Amino acid sequence: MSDSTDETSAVVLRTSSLTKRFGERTAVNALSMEVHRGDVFGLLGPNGSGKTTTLRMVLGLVWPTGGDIALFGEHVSAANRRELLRRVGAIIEQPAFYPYLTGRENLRTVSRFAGLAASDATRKRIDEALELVGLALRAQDSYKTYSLGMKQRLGIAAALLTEPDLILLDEPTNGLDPAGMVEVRGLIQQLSAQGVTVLLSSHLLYEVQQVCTRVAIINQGSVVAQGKVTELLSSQASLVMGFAEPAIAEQAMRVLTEASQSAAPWLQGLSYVAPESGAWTPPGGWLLRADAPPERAPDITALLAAQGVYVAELRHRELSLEQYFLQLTTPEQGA
Amino acid sequence: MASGNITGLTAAPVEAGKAPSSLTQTWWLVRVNLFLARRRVMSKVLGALLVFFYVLIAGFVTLAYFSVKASPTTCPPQATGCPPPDQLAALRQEQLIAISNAVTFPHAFTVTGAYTQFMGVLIICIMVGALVGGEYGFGTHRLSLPRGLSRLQVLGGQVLASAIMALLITVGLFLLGTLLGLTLGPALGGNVQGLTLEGVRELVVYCLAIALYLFGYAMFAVLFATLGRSAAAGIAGAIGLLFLEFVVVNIVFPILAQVLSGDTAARVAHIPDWFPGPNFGALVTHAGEAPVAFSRGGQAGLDLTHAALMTALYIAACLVGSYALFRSRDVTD
Repeated sequence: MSDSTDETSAVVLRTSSLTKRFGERTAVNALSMEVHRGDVFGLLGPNGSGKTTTLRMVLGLVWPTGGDIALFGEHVSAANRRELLRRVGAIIEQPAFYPYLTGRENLRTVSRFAGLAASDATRKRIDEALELVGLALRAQDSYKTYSLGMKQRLGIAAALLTEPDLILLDEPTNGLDPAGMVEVRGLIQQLSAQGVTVLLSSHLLYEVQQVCTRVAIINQGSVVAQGKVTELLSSQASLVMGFAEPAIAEQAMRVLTEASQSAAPWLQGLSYVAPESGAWTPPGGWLLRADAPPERAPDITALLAAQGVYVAELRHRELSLEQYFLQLTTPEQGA
Repeated sequence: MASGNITGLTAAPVEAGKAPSSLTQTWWLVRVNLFLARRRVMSKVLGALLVFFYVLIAGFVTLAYFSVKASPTTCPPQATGCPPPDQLAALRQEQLIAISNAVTFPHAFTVTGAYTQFMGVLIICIMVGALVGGEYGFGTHRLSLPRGLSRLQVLGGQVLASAIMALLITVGLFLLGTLLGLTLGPALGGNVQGLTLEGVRELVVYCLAIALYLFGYAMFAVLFATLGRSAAAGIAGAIGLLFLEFVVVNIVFPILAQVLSGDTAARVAHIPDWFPGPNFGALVTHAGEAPVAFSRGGQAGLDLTHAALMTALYIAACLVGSYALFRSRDVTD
């Protein structure tokens, strides 16, 4: 965490050692994360990992047991919560609206909560938000008649009402059909392009990888990884080698292990791994993996060739976000 | 604010520095709550029932009037102890006058006041319980609190809306009472009497005291709804309290006071003086004492200061309790 003023002003949301305990259970454990201006920040974690509780604490729905939350560079307190939250739009879990009101009436109600006067500008804004999420034709219908996807769209419209600087979206594509998911993804990218910071919590890791610039992965209430998606994934990059015979693979393992202890200390994480589904399977069924960036491939082949060991196939392997996520959050995978 | 317009939305929603004051925002919440109460089908049904039963009572009074009027002025031939026909006719006339006066302006407000204290209080307990508890049921605290509203503002908006609803129910029924008193009463031979300035003052204070009576129980609905995080808890809690109080005050304690003797009996007989209902009711009784005596037949008068203090205490306890619960509680609905 930097103390630089420039960097601090670029931090839209910062949580420091944020903790929430419900009785004996710790839902969020000393969680520290930073969302920077312009980020599309993905908050990832398995069910019950504390994602929604974290978002609820940011929004003042759940009181933290410990730690600190800062929005737009200011520590959130009772005195400034109102002013700071006015700059935030949010959908938390399933959208919650008054079932007996129409979509338009619900947005009008939200606009009053948000401190918008009942003016022509607000009415126009509501109409435009409804138009944007494709609900203009159903605006006069009761909310209880909406499908889950329509409810989700109304939630997005409500989050956009106040032209927020930061939007928190908790599973925003939940219940949407594939076309709706693409639209929401597009909307998130559009918001980001216009300078709005988006904090997105989602289980759909493929989707997160497509739209998020930075992510925090939380497990059992704690951040287990945080950073730019590209950097996190490239940090997990490895080289996998296939050999024509199992005996050669064993010989290669010996050569590389020795090298890692002397001439090539950068060579780490040597292990046998199974080929990916659909990929070439060498005799014996196992590939040799080394945690090394792609630019080290010539060095590895040179080390092996110097000992008379020749690689049948050498590939760069980068984990998908999903694989990385599972590696961090699933005990068996992590082990 | 983010530069430019988000996703092509053109209307500027918030002008910098033009955020409403905390009080303005709370007043907006009051209006939102009244709007929410008005838009519920349940409110419309309850409102219709409130009017329907009032009209039904007027119908029964009319029926009673004509039943008495149609009663014979002579006794059956074999009847014993029967008063003479002229005395019987006078008695019948007295009954007719009493009935018609009960629905004639301004005495019709006595019936209206009693009706409001019975039906009105049930209706407001249901409406306020649903209003406050519904926020938990629908999860709509997630709409208001993340917009920066404080819990005090949210609760304050609900409480003030409840006060206005109590006033609207009371005033609405008193307008109906006025209509009844100026139409049905005279039609049944009642004699409409004008109100002196003192009479108007009594009517206004009586009306406000009844609204306060409704508001007092509404605050119990707020407390129970907050405690139970549901509309059902708010409604059942407040109405349960009403009925429990009725049974305890009117049945249990009088029996105990009869069974016991001496000082103990006297002390037991005065225990209900500390209950909410007798104190709320005593304020109404005091408010409608004179000169018209709108509250005649009301609950035996407790000391006005005692009743006022106890009423204030109960309302304050409900408000503080509700706020303390709401303030400390996580919204996980």
